[in-house]
Amino acid sequence: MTDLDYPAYGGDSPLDQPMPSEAFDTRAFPPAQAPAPAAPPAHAPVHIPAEPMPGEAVASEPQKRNYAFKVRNLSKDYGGHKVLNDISFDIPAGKIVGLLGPNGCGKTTLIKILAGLIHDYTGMVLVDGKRIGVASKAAVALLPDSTYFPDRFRTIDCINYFADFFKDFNKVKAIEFAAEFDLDLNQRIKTMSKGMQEKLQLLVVMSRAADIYLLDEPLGGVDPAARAVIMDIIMKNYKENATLLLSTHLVNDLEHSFDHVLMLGKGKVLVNTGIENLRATGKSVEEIFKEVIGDAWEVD
Amino acid sequence: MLGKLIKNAFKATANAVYTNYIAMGVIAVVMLILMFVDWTKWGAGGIATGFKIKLAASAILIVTALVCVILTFVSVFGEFRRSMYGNEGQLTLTLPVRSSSLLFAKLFSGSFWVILSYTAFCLCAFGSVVYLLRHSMSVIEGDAEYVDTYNLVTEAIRQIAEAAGIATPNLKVIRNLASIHAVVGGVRACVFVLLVFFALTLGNCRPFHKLGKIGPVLYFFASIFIVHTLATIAAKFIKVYIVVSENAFTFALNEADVQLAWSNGYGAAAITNVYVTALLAVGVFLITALLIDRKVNVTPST
Repeated sequence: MTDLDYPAYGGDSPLDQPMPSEAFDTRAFPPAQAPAPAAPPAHAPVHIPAEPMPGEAVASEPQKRNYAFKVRNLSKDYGGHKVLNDISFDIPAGKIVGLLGPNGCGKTTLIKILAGLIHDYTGMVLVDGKRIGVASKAAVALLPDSTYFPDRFRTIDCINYFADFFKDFNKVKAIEFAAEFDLDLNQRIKTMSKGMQEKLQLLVVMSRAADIYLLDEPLGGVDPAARAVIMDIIMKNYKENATLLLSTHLVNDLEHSFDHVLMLGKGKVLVNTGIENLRATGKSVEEIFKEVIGDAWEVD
Repeated sequence: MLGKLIKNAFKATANAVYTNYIAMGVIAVVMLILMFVDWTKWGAGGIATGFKIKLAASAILIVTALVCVILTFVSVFGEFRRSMYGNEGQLTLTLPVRSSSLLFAKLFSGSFWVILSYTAFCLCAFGSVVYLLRHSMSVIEGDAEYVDTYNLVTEAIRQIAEAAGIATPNLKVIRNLASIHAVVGGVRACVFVLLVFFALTLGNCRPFHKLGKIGPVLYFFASIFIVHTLATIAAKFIKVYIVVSENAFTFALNEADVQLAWSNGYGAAAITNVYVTALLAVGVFLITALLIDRKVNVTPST
């Protein structure tokens, strides 16, 4: 079985176990923390498709993918403080997913795990049907919450760097974007304001035709007027059928964009459902967010 | 991909070290001018004053080269830490490349600069010593003509060989011997750089990051101690030498062959230590790549 044929459900591995119903109830919030599938015995063989070698077909056929992310029993702690506590969820492919939660709930940690920047977690994670590795990294475009280009780089160096390493990068589009953003191709990063650096990162990330975009607080620290522009750029430029995972705590500004919502709080998945299920409750995502997060932060 | 990684790693390290080399170049030019000015034209006592100036200029040149070596180390290792485990790590470690390729590119470019700076230091030190020796002899002899450098060096070699009780090897043998020691030095420099990369990587893995910034320093000294100890133990039990003649390199496995070679005007170099060190370094390389792949965390400050 290749990873392209990897079934959504029905196999023997814990990764094949179905998640609970996504039926949504406004009070009980049943899908909150999935009654996690039975954890496999420590010694049980777990079938995870082998990671393709570089040069092999790197799963870029989204229509064949049912899930962008499959996460089982994921835990991560920082010095004893559990940020993610045995969470399991699936995220369908081709959706715009809102990753919501209060500060410190593990949104950035989850994104870093999915991007392959944090490794000391327990549990299993599949991204685009692959274990975290070279192939999954080729499929993922990451926009972190901090700037990552070296100070010495000029705008054109950043563009060339991406062109060197990402086959799905559109250099012409990136240069056009830079002109649109009034970014001088020869200006060095160290002479740019933070806002300009963020624009530059956004333009290179959105110039990729990736299967998955991980955007960590793309609107963090941006004024309300610029938020609409940034969201417009993201929505108009991500690859069709790609999955967009957007972390934010600005629920109100973004809820109209989401197809799917994943809410985290107290280290658990509080909600993981399609937007239509949330809308069926007659409440806005923000209202539900406040209720769910409020419940999660109540003192036991 | 490896070619692109090396290209980018070279650009990054070059950017980190080029100011060191410019500064060193400027100082070196000034010192060389001071060393080659004919101070005897400056009147009575010119020779003595000139010698003092030349001595000071030579010393400054050597110290500058040494500082350049140290700054190169700091720049190369700082660049590695910044690009792998600082904010830039979020870019570097999300590239769709194997961690071993990434590490190799960093090691290749880092080692290049370290070896270059070390070579520059050796040339400065050797050149200054030879220059001063030649100049001092000309002053002592009261001869305005400098003595011949070639004769000076060959005479020094002859005296060293005589003191060691061996036949004086000819220049071809010395050149071949020097090339072997250059390769050994290069290997040691690469291993040194690799061990620092290993220590920095280990320092970013749990539970090893608990020691903070002092952690990588301790891990480096621990790893260099382990590698050196193992190589020394191996060298005690397995003895491998390269015997160098004018036109050939041959292996020898016992000291009698080595003694015979020296007494016949050939040279020999023990290579067990460096050979074992290189083998251990391959293991350290693989472990480091595995750590980058499986254990390291990139959690830069925002």
